[in-house]
Amino acid sequence: MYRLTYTLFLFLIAAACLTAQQGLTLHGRVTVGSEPLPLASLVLRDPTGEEIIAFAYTNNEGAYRMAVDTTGRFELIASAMGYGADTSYVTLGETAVVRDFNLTATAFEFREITVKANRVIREQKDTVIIDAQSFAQGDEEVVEDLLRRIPGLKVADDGAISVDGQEVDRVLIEGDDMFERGYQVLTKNLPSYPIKNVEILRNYSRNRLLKGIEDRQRVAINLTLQEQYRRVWSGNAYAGYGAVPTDRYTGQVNLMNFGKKNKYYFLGAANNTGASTVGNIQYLLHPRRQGEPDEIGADVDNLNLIPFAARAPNFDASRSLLNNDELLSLNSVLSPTEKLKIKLMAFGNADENYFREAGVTTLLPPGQAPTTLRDSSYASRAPLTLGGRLEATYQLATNADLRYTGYLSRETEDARQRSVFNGLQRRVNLAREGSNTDHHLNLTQRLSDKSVLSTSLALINRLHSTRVRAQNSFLFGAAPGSFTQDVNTQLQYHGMSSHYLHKTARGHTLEGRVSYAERRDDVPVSLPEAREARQPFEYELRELLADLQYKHKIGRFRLVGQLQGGKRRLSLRDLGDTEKITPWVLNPTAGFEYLDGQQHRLNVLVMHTQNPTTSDQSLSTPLAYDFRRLQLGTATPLNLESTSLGLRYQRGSWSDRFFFFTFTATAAQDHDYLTSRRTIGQEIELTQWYRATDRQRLQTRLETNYFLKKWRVNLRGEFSVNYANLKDQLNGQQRDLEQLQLRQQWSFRTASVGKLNVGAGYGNSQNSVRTALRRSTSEQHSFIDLTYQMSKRFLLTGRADNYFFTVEENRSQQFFLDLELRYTPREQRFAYSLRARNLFGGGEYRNFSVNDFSLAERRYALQPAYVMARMEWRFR
Amino acid sequence: MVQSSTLLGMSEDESGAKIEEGGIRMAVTVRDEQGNQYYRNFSNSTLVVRHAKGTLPAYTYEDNWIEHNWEISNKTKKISGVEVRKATTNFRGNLFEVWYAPEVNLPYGPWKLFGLPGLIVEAKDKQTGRMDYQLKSIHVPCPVDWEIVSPEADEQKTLREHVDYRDNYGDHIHQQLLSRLPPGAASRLTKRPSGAKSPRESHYEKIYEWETKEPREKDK
Repeated sequence: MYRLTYTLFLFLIAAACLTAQQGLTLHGRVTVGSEPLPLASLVLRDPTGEEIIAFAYTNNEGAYRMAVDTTGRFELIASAMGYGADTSYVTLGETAVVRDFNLTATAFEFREITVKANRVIREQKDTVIIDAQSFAQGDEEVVEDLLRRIPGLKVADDGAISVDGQEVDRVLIEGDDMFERGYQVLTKNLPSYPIKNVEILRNYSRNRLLKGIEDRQRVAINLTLQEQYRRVWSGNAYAGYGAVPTDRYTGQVNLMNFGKKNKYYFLGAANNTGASTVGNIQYLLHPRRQGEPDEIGADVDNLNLIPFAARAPNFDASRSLLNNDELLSLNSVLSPTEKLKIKLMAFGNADENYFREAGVTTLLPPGQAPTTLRDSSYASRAPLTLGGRLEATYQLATNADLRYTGYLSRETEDARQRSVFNGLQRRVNLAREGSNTDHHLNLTQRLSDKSVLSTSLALINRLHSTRVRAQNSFLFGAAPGSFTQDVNTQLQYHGMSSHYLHKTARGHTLEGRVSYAERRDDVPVSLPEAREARQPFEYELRELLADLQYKHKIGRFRLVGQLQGGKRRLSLRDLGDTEKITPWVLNPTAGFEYLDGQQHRLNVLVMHTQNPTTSDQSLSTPLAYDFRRLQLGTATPLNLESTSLGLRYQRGSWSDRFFFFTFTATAAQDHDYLTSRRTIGQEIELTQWYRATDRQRLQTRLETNYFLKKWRVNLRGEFSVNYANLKDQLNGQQRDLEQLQLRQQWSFRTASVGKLNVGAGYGNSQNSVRTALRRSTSEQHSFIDLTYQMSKRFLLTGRADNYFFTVEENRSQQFFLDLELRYTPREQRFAYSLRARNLFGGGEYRNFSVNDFSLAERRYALQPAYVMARMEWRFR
Repeated sequence: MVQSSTLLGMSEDESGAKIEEGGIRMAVTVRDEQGNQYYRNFSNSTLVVRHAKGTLPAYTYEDNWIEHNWEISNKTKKISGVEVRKATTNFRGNLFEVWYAPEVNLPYGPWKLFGLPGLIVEAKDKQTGRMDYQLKSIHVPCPVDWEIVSPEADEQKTLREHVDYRDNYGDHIHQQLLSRLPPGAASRLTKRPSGAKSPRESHYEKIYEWETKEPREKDK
C-alpha cells in the first residue's frame, strides 16, 4: 500500500486495466502461481535499455496486449509492485507474438522508497522559485548574505546583484518595488530570517501595461516572506560594541509590515565597522536608468565637477572603508483605493569617511629624468544627504495608467585634506552644497491587446555649488600660496517622448519613439587670480530624435533592426562667444537574437553611435581638484562616433542540473574619442581633454556556475580580458598605449544541510601597460571560509583571506582572519555573538600601481583588528 | 488491490467579493475539507472528479475515460536519487510534460494524467505554464487504512455541465451574488469584463472531444 503526497489536489484510484491498439501485436498473460495478476506493467525496450518501444498494463484477467510498429529483437520486462520482475527476449517479425509471465511474490520487504522531491529550485515559465532557507548556513544576517549563498546569484563588492551574469533591475518585496535601483538599502539591511522564497523574475516589466509586449529581457528578484511574518508588524534590533583595541560599534533597528495592500519598512542603522548602509547613494537620489519605454531623462547624471581627491583604496570595502555611517530610512507602499498606489521613500544619511595614506611615486616622464615624490596625508569627508521619492500611479482605466515620480534631495559635504607633500605642509578644503528636483510624468495606454502607447515628460533642476580652498599650492603662482575657486552649476533639463510598442500575433515587435530634450548647464567658474570675475560658461544640448526598431521572429531567431535619426544642436557659450555644432544623427543597429527556451540565448548586435560631449568634458576654465591638480575640458563642442560589435551568449538551466554559462564580448572601433593631454611636474599636474581618432577596444568576460546537486557544491568561475589601444599626450609627447587586463576567479562553496560548510576560492588579476616599455602588476587573492554548527545553539564561523601583490620585482603579502561565535538560545528571539575581525591585518594595506608614466607604492590605513560583542532581538 | 491517494495543499488566497464602482472584483478560495479529488477506477474504467467548494457549492462529475497517447523520451534525470524518464502527451488541446519513475511501476499520476509504466512524479503543462505537480513523498507501507471510494458532493453534474460552468464561472458567481442581495442593491451590480482573452485561458483543458474547433475566444 502506498500513500503519495502531491502538492496539489487529491486523487483516488482503484485497480485496473489498460488495453492497447492495432499494429503488430504482442500479447500474453501475467500470473502469480495460477492467479491472474492485474496491473502488472510490461515494457518493451531495445536491449540497451535506452529506448522504450511500447508498454502496457495487464487487465483484471492478467492479460495484456501491445501494439508495436517496428520489427527487431527486444527486451520484454514484466514487473509489478511486490512481485519482482521477469525479462524475456522477443524477436518481432510478421506474426503476433505471445509471451506469458509467472511472477513470484517478493512480499513488501524490499527497500522502502522515499522520493522526497521537495525541490529547492523550481522553474515555472518566466519565474524561478528558490527555497532560500535551504541554502542558509546560519551565519546570514541580511538578505544580501542570504543571496550570496544561492547558486547562480552573485553579489558584487558594491552590493550590485546579478543573476546568470546579468545585473538585476530591481529587488521587490512581496511583489512591490520600494527602492527601484536603490535596492541595496533593502538587501543590505533587511534581516534574512523572515525570507521564504527568492523568486527570479525573467522578462520583468515594471509597468503592468507593458508586460508581454516590451522585449527588454530584464531580470528582477522578488522576495517572499514566511507566512508568520506577513501582514504583521515585525522586526529586529541589534547592537554591537567592541572596545578592544579600538572603539567599534554597530547598531540597527528594522521595523516592517508587509501586507497585501500596504507595506511599511522603517529602518535606522549606524556603524563604524566599514559596512555601507545605503550602497550607492546616487541610486536613491535619481532613477539612473536607460532605455525604458515609459520614461525620459532617467539617465541624466549629476553634474559633480570636482571629485574629492582622497578615496579608499580599491580593495575589499569592508576592510578598507573607515567610516561612521548613519542612515534613517522610512518607506511605504500604500493603496488608498484599488486604483491608486503611492510609494513613499524618505531617507537621511550622514556619513563620515577617513583616509590616511602615504606613498612614494616615481614619475617617469618620457625624455626626462625620473622624479620621486613623497607624500602622506590625512583626509576626511562628511557628506550629509536628505532625500525622498514619491511615486503615485493612478489607474485611469483598465488599460491606462498615469504615473508621477518625484525625487527631491539636498546634499552637503565638507571635506578636508591635510598632507605633507615634497616636505611642505598642504591643506585642501572642499565645501559642497546641492539640491535636486526631478519630476517625471508618464501616461501609458494599452491601445489593444498587442499595442501600447506611452508618453513621458521630465523636468529636472539641479543646483550645486562647490568651493575649493588650498594652501601652499603652486597652481596659480610661482611661489607657494593659497587660492579659492568657486564652481556653481545649474542643470536644467526638459524632455518629452512618445513611445509606441506593438507585438504581432506571430511575435514580431515594432517600436517607434519620438523624443525631444533640451539640457542647459550654467557653470560659472571663478578663476583664483580674479576672484570676483565669474566666467560665464553655458553648455546647451538640444536633441530631436526619432527611433524605429523592428524585431522579426523566424522560429527561434529574431532579426533586429533599429534606426535612430534626428538633429542635434550642441552649443558652448564662453565669454560671450558661442560655438555650436548641429550634426544630423544617424545611429543604425542590426543584429539577431536566438532564444531556445531558457537553455540557449544568443544576442549579436552591430551598432553605430554618435554621442555628444558632456559639459564637464567641454569646460574651458581649469578646475582645481586639490593643491596640485588641474583639469580642463575640450573647450569645443564635439560629436563622437563609434562602431561596435556586441555578442552575448547565455546557456543555463535552473532545473534538475543547475548550471549557467555566460559569455559576453564587445569589440569597438572608436572613430573619435576623448583622451588626455597631461603635463606632469613636481608641483603641477594638468590634464586636458582633447579629441583623438581611432581607438580599438575589446572586452570579453566568461562566467560560469555549476551546482553539483548530489554533493550540494556550487562551483563558480569567472574570466575576463580587456584590451585597449589608444593615444595620449604626456609632457608634450604623443604616445601610443596598449592596455591589457586579465582576470580570473574560481571558487566553490558547499551548501549542505549538514554541520560543516566550506567555501574557498582563488583569483588573480594582471594589468599591463605598454608604451615604449611594458609594465605590469599582478594581484592574487585566495580565501577560505567555514561555518560549523557546533551544536543546536552554537555556530562558529571563520574566514581567512590572503593577498599577494607583485609589481616588477616587488612583492608583498597581506593576510586577514575573521572569527565569530554565535549563540542562539532556545527561545529564538535573541541571538548573541562574539566576533573578531581583521586579525593579523596590521591595519594597513600596501599596494603598488603602475601606469603609463609612473610607478607608485602606497600604504593605506585599514579597519583595525577588533573584537566585538553583539546582541540581537527579534520581535513579532 | 493497490490504492493510492494524494493530498491537497492550495495556496491560501483571501476570499470574498467586493462591490465597487463599475462592477465586482473578487478573490475566491477554492477549498473545503475534502478538496478536489480525482477518483479513477481501473476495473470499470471510470473517472469521477470532485470539484471543491468555492463561492459555489462543491459538486462531482464523471469524466470520459481517455487513455493518453504517451510519447516516451530517452531523456532521464534523477530526482532525489530515483531515476525518472520524460514523457509527453497531448490531451484536450494542451501539451503535458511529465517525469515518471520506472522503478515505481504504478500507472498513477496527478490530476487526469495516468497510464505510464511508472509513477508520475513531476508534471507540467505547456499552454498555461501553471501546472506544477511534484511528488513530495511515498510511504511504504501506507499508513492509511480507510477504503477508497468514489468522492461525493451534494450536487452532481455531467461533464458538459461542468465545462459550461467553468467557462461561465464569472456569470455563475454574479448570478449567485444577485440572488443574495436586496432588490435595490442588485440593480447596481454590473459585471466587469474579465481581462482574460478566453474563458479557458487559465484552464489546463482547452478543447473537449465534442468540440471540433478552437475554444471560443471573445476577442478573435
